Amino acid sequence: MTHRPSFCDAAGKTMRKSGIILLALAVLTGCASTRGGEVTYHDSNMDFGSLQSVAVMPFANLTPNTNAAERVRDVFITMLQATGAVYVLPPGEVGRGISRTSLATPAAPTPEEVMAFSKIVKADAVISGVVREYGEVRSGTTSSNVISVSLRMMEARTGKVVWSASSTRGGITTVDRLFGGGGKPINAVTEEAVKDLLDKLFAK
Amino acid sequence: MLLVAAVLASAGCAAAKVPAAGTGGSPPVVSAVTPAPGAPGTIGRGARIAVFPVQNVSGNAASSREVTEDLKKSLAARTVSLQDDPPLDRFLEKRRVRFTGGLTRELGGAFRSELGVDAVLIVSLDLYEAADPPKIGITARLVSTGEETAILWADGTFLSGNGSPGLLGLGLVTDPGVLKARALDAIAGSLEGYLAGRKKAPRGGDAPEAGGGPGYRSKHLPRGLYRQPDVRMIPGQNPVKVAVLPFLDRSARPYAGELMANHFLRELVRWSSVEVVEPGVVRLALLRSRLIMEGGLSFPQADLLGELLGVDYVVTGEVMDYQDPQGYEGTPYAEFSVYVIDVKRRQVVWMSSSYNRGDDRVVLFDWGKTYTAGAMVSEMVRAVTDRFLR
Repeated sequence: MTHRPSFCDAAGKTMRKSGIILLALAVLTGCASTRGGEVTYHDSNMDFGSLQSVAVMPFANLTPNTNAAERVRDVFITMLQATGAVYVLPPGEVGRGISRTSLATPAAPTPEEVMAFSKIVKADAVISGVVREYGEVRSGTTSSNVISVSLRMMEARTGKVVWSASSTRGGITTVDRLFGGGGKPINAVTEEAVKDLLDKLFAK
Repeated sequence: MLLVAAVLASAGCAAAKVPAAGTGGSPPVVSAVTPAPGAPGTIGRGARIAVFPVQNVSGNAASSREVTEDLKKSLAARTVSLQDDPPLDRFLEKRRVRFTGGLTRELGGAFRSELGVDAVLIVSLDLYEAADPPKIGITARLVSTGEETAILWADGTFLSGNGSPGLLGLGLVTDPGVLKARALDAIAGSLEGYLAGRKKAPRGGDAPEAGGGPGYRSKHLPRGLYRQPDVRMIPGQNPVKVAVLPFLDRSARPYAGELMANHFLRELVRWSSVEVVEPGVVRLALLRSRLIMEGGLSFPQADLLGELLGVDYVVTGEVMDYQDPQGYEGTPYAEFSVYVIDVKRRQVVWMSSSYNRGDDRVVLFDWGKTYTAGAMVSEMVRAVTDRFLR
């Protein structure tokens, strides 16, 4: 008995082909994206609405750009304050707290240090962070700006991490590879990443 | 062909229209200042003025003495009454005055009582580049003598040799001397205008409207900002007292922190609802209280300044970048953030961050391009103060 190809078989083959193409596209897009592997942690027991004042510590800088951490922190402080949701302590006040508590590594304080620091500056929470990538990346003849930042928030009362998130923005996309182009300016990419982090912070 | 010629001609005409005392291809940055209503020590044409030696904060080698002498000549030619040099030199030597970037109350009192001087002109060379194309930036302020040391007038001009190239590049300036003369002429003319009672900005109003517009372009507005909702400077009431502190300098440009503070001072003094404390007075308070602001101003430090200077607000911030272009290619770039602390409430009432390039939103024939960082930052700062105070 011979099997005669029916209309259903033909349609199935077409769908399979389309599926493979779509899968390939999804894989390719996934490879090109720089946003993979980002996770957010929210402490379910924490009442984020109770936070009134927040101190943003100097960020750790893992990039070759010497001012990257200060630049990102500066943008983050302004944008966090601009939300109006919390009051952000001015950098000088944070500096005073760091000096008073003699923090050896302000970018990565211990829970005890967070508690002591918060008492001095009267903060409800402390945010610290790490700038992992900042600046231009190249691939062949194409270049673009990329930024990668991780932040975590610690509750002042206990020193416990109540929120943590990371964001990566910019980088070379498939379109950049195909058609060239220098990508967005680093400031615009930084703002995107900070906005993404704030969205994650204020997400329910 | 005709179309191309017409476009070129219009481009040339447009460039040629830029005033000599402007910013080099962009709207004029000159921001003549009127004193706050009721400000003490308002003076007129016959006032005797002492010119401090020019402070060079350009980061480049430049003859400050030459600029000072040329400015004095320019002022004298406009019949501005100047204090003679020998007594002024003796006075500065006797008082051991080394810092000429500000006036303290003690020194102001001595100027009045010993020399009979009505006001001191404090001049700063913010930008000086002799290489082609030359660039120059001069800012100045007039401070009354006596105990009050009120800022009576302030102005600044930033010029670049390629700022107004005109048709076929006929407007290019390659001689730094020509550019310097233009800048000094602009400053002297503006001061003469103030002394003669000709004001560029309305006196006693809420917001200064230079030429009917805000004096900045929308592209220079801050990128992110926070403003305490209940903060408003009310015209007609007692002006709020503000101290502008040097910004934390994270840029590669020498004196960028001081330059930025100077920009804010010039813009804030334009507002009748604000009384800006003379930087010389602020500097002395910082020195006497041994106040070192590592990483910025803390609340106890703001308290101290409030006590020493009687200020309501303190303006400070950080400069990330303040770059002037080298040569004909390139464009200026500046990035800074500013925050204003309400001393009494111990709160940040304003916070904003700004960044711009000189060629932002420039698409055709360099129209709208800014050629010096000083000119660009002036507009950016004007946009910030406008948003904060309006």
